[in-house]
Amino acid sequence: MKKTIMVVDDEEDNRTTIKMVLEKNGYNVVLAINGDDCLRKLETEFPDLILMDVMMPGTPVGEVVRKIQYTKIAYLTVVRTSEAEKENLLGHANIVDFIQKPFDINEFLKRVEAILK
Amino acid sequence: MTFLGKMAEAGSAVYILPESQSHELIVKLAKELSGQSVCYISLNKTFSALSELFQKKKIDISKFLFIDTTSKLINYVVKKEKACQFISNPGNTAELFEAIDKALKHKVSYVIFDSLNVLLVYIKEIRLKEIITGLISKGKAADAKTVLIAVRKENEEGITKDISDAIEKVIEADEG
Repeated sequence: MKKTIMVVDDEEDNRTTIKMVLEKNGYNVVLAINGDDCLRKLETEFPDLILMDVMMPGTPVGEVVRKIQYTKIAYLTVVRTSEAEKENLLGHANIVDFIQKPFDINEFLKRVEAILK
Repeated sequence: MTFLGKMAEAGSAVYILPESQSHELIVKLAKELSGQSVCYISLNKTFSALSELFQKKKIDISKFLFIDTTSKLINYVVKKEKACQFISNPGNTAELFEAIDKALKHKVSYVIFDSLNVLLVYIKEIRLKEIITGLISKGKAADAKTVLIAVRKENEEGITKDISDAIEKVIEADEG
């Protein structure tokens, strides 16, 4: 059965590109334009993974993530963090990866596949 | 010529970096500022990441005061730091200006704003000039030079154009 991934990013170009890449590789994709849209869509959509941009207008991502309890979340971000911060973040239940933008598509797909295994 | 040499006569400048080398060029700039009094406003790197990076590169940041706008966005717990003020997100300009006022109460030679591109994720372009003018005025009032970092992307020309009246100089990083 196809896995479903929700892509949350305020930049249309990013959403379109990531959607195209994921669909080409056999995933269903749901799009959300920011954290608030993501929370709204989670009332009716049940993705296996959320790929969440960190820098978006609207409700800060930290607050959005706290409201998502059971879905795996991978951050997609241009924000640089220290190794200690990454470890700390990954220690929280549903945050499973921290993917630095810009990313290599093949590497990105490998990481998505590993998360969903 | 060093960046600070290019900045000699100017009180404020936009420093344009090519995207592929922005990380290295920011480290290079920080090396030039090593040991000086600097207010470093980061919109895209956490204080923890910056201090880890600068210390690894042996940059003396003992007189740096940081304003970190991203740690509270992503971390569950943000530990208080003497050298850093944490604000809720890069778009909260009221909190940002309050933090800048607080930092500029100390004697600061340079205000580094990293970066304009990220600011534009959060604010409408129409407010950019107002915010940048406010930032530069605060720097001037405190006798500090203001450096606004912009990463050269598709929208870079627009950024520089929008704020050209507010800044004294545009400095393009040397590629290489």
